[in-house]
Amino acid sequence: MNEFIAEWAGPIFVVIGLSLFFTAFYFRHQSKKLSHALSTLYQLNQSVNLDALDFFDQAWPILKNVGCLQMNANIEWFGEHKSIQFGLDQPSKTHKQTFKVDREDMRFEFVIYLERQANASESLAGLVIKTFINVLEQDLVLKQAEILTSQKRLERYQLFVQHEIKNIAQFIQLLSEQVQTVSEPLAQQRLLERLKQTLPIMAQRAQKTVQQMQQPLAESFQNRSYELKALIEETLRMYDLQASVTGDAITQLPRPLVLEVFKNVLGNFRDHQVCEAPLAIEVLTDDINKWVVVQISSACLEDQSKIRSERLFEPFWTTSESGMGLGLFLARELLKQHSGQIEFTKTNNAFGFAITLPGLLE
Amino acid sequence: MTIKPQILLVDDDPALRGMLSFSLELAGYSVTEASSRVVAINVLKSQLFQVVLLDMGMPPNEHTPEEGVAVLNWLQQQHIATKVIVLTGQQADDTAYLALKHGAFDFLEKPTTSEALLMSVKRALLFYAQESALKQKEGVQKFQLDASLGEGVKSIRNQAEEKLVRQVLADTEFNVYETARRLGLKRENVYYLIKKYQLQRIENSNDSL
Repeated sequence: MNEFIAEWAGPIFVVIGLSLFFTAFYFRHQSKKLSHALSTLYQLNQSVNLDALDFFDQAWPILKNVGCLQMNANIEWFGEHKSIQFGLDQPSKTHKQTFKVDREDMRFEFVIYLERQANASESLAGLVIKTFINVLEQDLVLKQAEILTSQKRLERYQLFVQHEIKNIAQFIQLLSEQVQTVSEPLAQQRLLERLKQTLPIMAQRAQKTVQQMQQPLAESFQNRSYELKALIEETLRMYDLQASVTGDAITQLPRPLVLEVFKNVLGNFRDHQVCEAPLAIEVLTDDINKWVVVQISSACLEDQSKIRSERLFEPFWTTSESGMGLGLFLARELLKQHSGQIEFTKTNNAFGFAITLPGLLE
Repeated sequence: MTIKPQILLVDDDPALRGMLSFSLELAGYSVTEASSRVVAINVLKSQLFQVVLLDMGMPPNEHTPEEGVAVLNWLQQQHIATKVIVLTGQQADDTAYLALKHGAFDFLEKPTTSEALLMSVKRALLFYAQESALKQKEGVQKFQLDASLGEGVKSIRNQAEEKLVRQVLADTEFNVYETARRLGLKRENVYYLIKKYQLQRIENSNDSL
């Protein structure tokens, strides 16, 4: 017996050692392959700007590399239908898995054919497919949120035009009736005096409405310079907010855009401020880079403890029951269009926002 | 000499405000203008109006009825007798529902005619005058109560009690002795109700009607 062990022990250990070596090698290889496949999927998603359709169209080579043989998909995209096949027709002895990912008007239904050994749920292919589906779902959620934001913007724009047009129509209606009914010379004189005051305002309003209808983003206001301090003070009056404004700068950025930014930012202070301390607003200029930095600070320290700064600019995130959680998000988006930026700032004594605007004029 | 009926016109559009006030002045009314919720409430604190003509969408919330609702709520609390006619360009169904819920007397959608506007003002003044007469002659105060069905009668009783005490206190310029006399209560009871409903005298009140 001892002789048998002495004779075979060596080869047995060699076999076991080799098996362990190849197993370790196999797992290391699979792990590297998995890691590579997953990072390629994420990179692809970034390169297509998180667009679900582009991601789906371009992900096939990665799936193929991990053992997928064929993918047949039916895509519904806002009422449009598309059928697509990746890979060649496969013999019937392959395994197939069916998936569905959808959000409102966006739906992906697809069947993936796999090699027999790739079919296990924890296989390399299984893990990559799972990640592929997760990324696709995330892209759809993002798309859904983008659509909602656009809809809100459009609704806002429609409301603006509707409000203005109804006011103009009301003005014309009253004017027409008054011109017809006022007959006494004294009343006619009073009407004339009234019209001298009101008609220029209404003409200006009508012009503004037409400009909005032609160019909702109000690009036509570009190249007209104005003082930033006056705009900030106008917004403060609008919201009945107390603040000390120091410094000033002249800018050429579209006035409605900048006004919208300050309305969104200062609106947050109006809606969430719990103490009476006035805001401190400082307009600083950087003559070298031609920037204007507007620092808005609040000393309401009890507010500060409630703020979750990492979520402040997230769309649809709000602590207010009536708010939509879009104010700061929209402010940031509007500023981005013109290479501006907004940041949350915090010191021991105050918190607030620093708004950086390009286009400082001498 | 007849005192002209007092109307407060609240609208953020200065041109439209000018034309509306001209129509009302031509019809023989005395018009005061306000451009926002804040200005309107300040004016209402210093002067009594029989009718308020109210735009619902004003800065900073031009596209929602928030500002108009705030004025309606203030009037419901402080000057319940004042009749409010809502004139707005916002979504008619939704805004009319809100206006009614917050105590508006009438609702007109922009653009409206002078005739419809003056008819509504006339009706509001008639109701104001008749309710005042009812109060003077028979000591009857009319209230609008929002009764939630299925929640018992306690909340309705409290609501009526609060509105009644609030109104009589406003009528007597917060004279507790006179309020107690008019309500047929002891002064201690009036103090108790003032505390219970946290009633406060309106600052800068200088009623002129």
